[in-house]
Amino acid sequence: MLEIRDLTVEVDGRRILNGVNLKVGRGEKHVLFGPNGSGKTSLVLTILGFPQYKVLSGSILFEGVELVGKPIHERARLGLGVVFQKPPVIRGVRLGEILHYLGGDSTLLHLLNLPEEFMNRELNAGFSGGEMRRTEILQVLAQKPKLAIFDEPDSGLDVENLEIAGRAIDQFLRDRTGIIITHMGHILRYVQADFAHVMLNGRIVCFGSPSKILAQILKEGYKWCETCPQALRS
Amino acid sequence: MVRDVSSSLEELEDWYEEFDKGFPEWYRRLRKKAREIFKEKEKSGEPVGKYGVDFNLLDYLPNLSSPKERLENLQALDREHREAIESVGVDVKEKERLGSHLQQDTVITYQKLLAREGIIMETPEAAILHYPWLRQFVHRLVPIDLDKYTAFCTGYSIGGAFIWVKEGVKADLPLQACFLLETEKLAQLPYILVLAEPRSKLNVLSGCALSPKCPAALHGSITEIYVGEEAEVTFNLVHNFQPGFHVRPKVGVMVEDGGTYIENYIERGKPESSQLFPTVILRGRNSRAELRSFFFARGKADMDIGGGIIFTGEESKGEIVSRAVVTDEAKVKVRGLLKAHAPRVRGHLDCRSLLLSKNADVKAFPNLSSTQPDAILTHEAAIGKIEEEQLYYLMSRGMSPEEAASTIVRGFLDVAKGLPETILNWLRRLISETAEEIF
Repeated sequence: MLEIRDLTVEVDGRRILNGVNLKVGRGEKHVLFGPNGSGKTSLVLTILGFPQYKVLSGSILFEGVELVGKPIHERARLGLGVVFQKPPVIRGVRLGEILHYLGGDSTLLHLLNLPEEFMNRELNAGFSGGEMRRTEILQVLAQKPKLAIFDEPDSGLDVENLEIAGRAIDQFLRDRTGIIITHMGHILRYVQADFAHVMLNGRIVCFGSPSKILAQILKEGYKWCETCPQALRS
Repeated sequence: MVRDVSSSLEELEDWYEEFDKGFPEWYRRLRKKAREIFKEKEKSGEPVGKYGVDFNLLDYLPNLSSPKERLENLQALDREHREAIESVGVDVKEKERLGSHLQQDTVITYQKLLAREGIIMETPEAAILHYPWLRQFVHRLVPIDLDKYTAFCTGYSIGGAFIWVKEGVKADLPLQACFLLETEKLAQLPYILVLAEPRSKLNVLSGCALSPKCPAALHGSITEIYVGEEAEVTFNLVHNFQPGFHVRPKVGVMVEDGGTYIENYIERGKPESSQLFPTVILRGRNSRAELRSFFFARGKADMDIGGGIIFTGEESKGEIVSRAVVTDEAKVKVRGLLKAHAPRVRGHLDCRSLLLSKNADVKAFPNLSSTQPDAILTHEAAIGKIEEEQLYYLMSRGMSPEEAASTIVRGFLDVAKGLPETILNWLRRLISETAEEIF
C-alpha cells in the first residue's frame, strides 16, 4: 500500500531524512521506534506533504500513486490520515465542525471517553495532553483513512486513557493499515502490530518483530541500536 | 484649508428652522447651537472627526429624501430593497422578532411592535413631543461639539428611533431597526435613543444597507443608550455598504449598577470609509460592557474601528474584542481605550487582525490608562497572516487550501456574544459566505 524508496529530505537546508526505505502492505500494522530527533515526525510530515519538508530524492508511492509533488489535501483524499503529535490551536473552529466535515458525529466521543460538550470546544484550545491525543484519534477515526499514521498516540496519556486510546486504535486498525510511531512503546500493550522498525539519524536501521525490538530497546535503550551491527550496516 | 460657508447652508438653515418649529424650546435651541458649532468648525477647516478619513460633509445633504409611502408590512417592500435589508439580518416576515422599524432615507415607512406591554417604540421627534422629561437624556452621552460630525449629525438629524423598555420587562427576541439608503448624495442621520429601565432586557438588531441604485451617500447616526440597574442591552450593528459610502455611527452608552451592555458590530460590505468608536461609561458598581467588532475590510475600504470603556463604577468590568480580516487594498486602524477611574475594575483589550494581502495595511492603537492602583487593565494585539501550520493541519483532514483558509477565517471571526440563536446562526452563515468569497 505504501512504499517509500530511498527518501532524502531537508528542511531549511538541513538534511533530516537520509535514504529512508519502508514498505507497508495492505492490512499490515507497523511500528516505528526511534529516539527523540531521529526523524520519525519528519517522516510523517513528509509523507503528508508539508511544504517545508523538501524531497531531494526518492519516492513515496501510495497504492501505486506517486505522492511527491501532490498537495496535502490530495494526499488526505487519496486515503492518508494522521494523528498529530502537536496539533495547532485553531480558535473559533469547533471540534464538532471538523467531525461533521469528516462525516463523523458525537457518538465517536463516547468511544474515547470524551464528554458531549467537546463537540463545541475550540480545536485544541485549552486541551490537556490526554484530551488532545484523544480528540486527534477521534478525528482520524471519523476520517476513516486507508492508511492511518499515529504519531506518538500514547504521549501524555494516563493509564486509564492509554487503555481507552489503545483499544480504540486497535479496533480501528483491525481490518485497516496503520503505522504507529512510539518512543516508549506503551501503546503496544493494546495494539497488535505486525512489524517494527527503528529509526536513527534520519534512516531506518532495523526491521523485525515488535515485541523483540521493544524488549531490546527497553532493556538497553536506543544507545544499543547505535552500536548494533545490523544498524551500522544499513 | 478654509472653506466658505456656502449659500446651501443658509438654505438648509431656513429648512431646519421650519422643520424644528413645534418642538420644545430646549430642543430647538440645542439643534440650532449644534448647527452653529458645525458651521464654525467647517469655517475653520476642522476635519470631520478625530479618527477616520476626512471628507467634505457638505457633499451630502441631510434633507434630500423624496416622499415615501408607509408600508403595510416589510414584505411589501420592492424586491431589491427587501434583499438589501435581508442582507443585514432583517427578517421581512418578522418571525422571532420583537418588532420592526424601517427608515428609508429620512422617512420612517414602517414601525411595528409585535409584542408586548412595557415596550415603547416611536420616532425620536414624536418622543420629544410626548415626553418632556426626555430632555435629561437627549444628546447627553455623545457631546454635540465632540467633532464636526457630531455637531452636523445633532443639528441636522431626521428620523431614527426611540426605544423604551420599562422596569422588569425582559424582551428576548430582537427588535430589528433597519436604515436603508436610497437617494444619491443623501446624508442619512438618524438619532437613536434607548432607555432600558432597571432589570429590563433588550436586544436590538440595527441593520444598515443601501439600495443597489444608490451609488454614493453618507450614513451617520447618533445612538445614546442608557442601561438601568441590572438591565441588559445587546446592540448589534450589521452593515452592508459599498464604495462611495461613508459610514459614521456614533454610540454613547451609560451603564448603572449591575447593568450589562454588549455590542456587536459587523461590516460585510466594502464601504469607502467607516469610523466607529462606541464609548461606554460604566458608572454603576459591578456594571459590565463588552464591545465586539468583527469585520472584513475589502476592496479599498478605509476603516477606523474601535471603542472605549470608561470605568467609573467600582468593580466594573469591560472587554473590547476586535477581529479584522483585511485584504485587497484595504486600510484598517483598530483602536481600543480603557480608562480606569474606580477601585477594583478590570478591563481587557483583545485586538487581532488577519492580513491577507501585501497591499493592505493594519495599524493597532491600544490605549490603557488608570488612576487606580488596584485596577487591572490588560491588552493583547496581534497582526498576522493565516498560520501555515493551521492551514496544513486542516488540509491534512482533506480540506482544499480554500476550504481550510475560509474555515480558519470563520473561526477567527466567531466572537459574537449575546445574540439570539437565530441571528447567531445567520451571522455564522454570513461570515462563511463572505469568507468563501475571499478565497
